[in-house]
Amino acid sequence: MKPRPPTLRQDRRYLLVRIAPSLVRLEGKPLYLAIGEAVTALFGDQGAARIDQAVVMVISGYAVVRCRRGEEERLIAALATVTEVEGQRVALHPRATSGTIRSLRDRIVPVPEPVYLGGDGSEESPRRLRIGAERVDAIVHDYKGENVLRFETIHPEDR
Amino acid sequence: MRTDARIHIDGDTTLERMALEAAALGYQAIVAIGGVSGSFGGVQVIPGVSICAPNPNRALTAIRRAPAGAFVTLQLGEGAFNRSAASLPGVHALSGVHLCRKNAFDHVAARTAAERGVAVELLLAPLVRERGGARQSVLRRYADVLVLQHRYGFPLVIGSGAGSCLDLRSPRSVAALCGLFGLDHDGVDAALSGVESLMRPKAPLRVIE
Repeated sequence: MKPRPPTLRQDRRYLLVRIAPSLVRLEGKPLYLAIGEAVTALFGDQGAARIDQAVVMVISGYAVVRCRRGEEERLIAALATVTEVEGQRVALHPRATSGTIRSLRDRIVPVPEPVYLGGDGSEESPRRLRIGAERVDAIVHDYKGENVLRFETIHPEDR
Repeated sequence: MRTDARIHIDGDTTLERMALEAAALGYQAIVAIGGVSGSFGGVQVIPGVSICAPNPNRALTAIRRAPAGAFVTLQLGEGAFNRSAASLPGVHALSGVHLCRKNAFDHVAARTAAERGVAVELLLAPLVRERGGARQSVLRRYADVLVLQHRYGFPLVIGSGAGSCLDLRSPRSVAALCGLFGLDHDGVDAALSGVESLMRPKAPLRVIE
């Protein structure tokens, strides 16, 4: 199939989105489905077709999401309503919008690798992971075997 | 000063962490319901008191019990209550407009709020969490509040209603969400900085001549 000439191609915009919490590792497809569901719930099928959203890539705590030019605000509104991907609680924070993926790559601030501080994941001793200089995420395995996250800060004396 | 007008600290996130995440998203202050005054990571924490009362007398009693320096919000209810709620002294904002029946927050309450300088709080949590009819109802209520706001000019404040740092939304997301019911970017900026002006003590009248 012959590719369309650039003048006939649809104009696109790319959104750099930070995925929170940083411990969550997402695949592209579940994220695409969650965003698609949010867009459809908010704007309906016609709106979703107009926005024409897609997940281009997921890299180190960030995702690049594509939409049609002029539909960025609607996509950002829909991204704000995504609260869960594959049963994991997440938040998607838009960081930058651009016409090229390359310029978005420059805007990526690497997410610090979590440092294990201790704990076995029980209620009494949650598994604590230090994120950067100040943040600590505590993971507790609840009675159903699911991971429950708690968000804390590191004690000033431990910094 | 961009302020998130409602954050709950009884969820999975500590107050300090909530302040850190709010700072990372671009806020300078948060109102923490049940929280204590302080500053963490460059974000000012304003203690908040949320009052839900069956009648104005009970509301007034609760308002008097609120600690000094707290941002006091009063939950709206039926029409008669709403009309007097805006005139109660010590109230900074009226909350729960999305939970009211249609027209329960009417033009009389709106005019009183405008005269008294009492804000109406728009909560984002129901827009984010709800789906279908429930969300449509919230969008309708907020659009209706905007009609009254354009007419009478009472201030607006925006709160995420976050119980977890994952429920916080950046000002850009807030603007996009508010665009759904017709609040433009200037309106969002004014609403996000509304808490600061509401908390500022009113200067006494000064006779110039």
